[in-house]
Amino acid sequence: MIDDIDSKIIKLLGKDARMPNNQIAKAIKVSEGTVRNRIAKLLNQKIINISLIRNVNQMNNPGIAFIGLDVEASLKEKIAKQLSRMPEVRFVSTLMGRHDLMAFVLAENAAELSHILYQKIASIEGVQFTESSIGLKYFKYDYKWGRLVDE
Amino acid sequence: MKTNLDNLDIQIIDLLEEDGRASAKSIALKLGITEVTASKRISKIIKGDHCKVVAIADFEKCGFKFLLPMGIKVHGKQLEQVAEKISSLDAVYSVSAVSGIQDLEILCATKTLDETVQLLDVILPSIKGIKSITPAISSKVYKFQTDWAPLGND
Repeated sequence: MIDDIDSKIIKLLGKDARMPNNQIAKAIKVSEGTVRNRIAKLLNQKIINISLIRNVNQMNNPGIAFIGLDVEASLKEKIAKQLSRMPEVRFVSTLMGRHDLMAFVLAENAAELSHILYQKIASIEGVQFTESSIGLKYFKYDYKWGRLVDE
Repeated sequence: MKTNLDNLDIQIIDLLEEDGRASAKSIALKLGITEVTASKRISKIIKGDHCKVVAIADFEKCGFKFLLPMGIKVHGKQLEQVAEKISSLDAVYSVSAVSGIQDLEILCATKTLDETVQLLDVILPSIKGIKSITPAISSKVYKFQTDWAPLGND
């Protein structure tokens, strides 16, 4: 688990992961060595990772879809893994309630999105029903959080 | 607003993608440029609106046991107000307006079942303009790729 010092470091790195250790040390009043050790620990235990995030608002016409899937019960895990292997699919989770699975897709444009939704995903064996919502406007996205899943 | 990136910027972005905390010196060495050029380019890249280098913390390891992808339907014209109100909640991590059966897709994270119930039964229903809430609990996350985000709203 993480303590107060860890959370302060996570908060600073969540804004700018390139902040030098000595600046972090000054900001939270601990030694530079402590900062170095804590960051190493947080990375080793996969509590954080350092990511480069690209701004989708800089893409020309990105197609983003939120897809709920109902699937053949015995194939749920297999389908989750199949979806995870598709590069355009950025998020896959099994669900309790609503649908059996949920996936988020980020495509370069509307044509690619339609191909992924209606050709690639619809043709996966065991997918019985999909409900797609297309992203129109993004009010909040707190990129400091994620699930660090082993692939 | 779109700014242009040249070939060198793109090479630097690729290196930062591999190691977000790589020093300007090591990037300069790899690309055969001076350290000054490297650090100027790096600041230009991360201060611009193309990308950011940040630490992403794992929900679960930071104590958030419940990840909730929910659909929200909203009464007519109140979409923007409802979206802003939901966005102001700490438990809510993303809010997107969508076309489809739902009006908003939101992602929330809570630490306990009590907190989850409070959010679903008290906090969200008290927001004026919400017509319906379709909740779900994420049981197992298979993929959560954090290399993209709509930046610039904060």
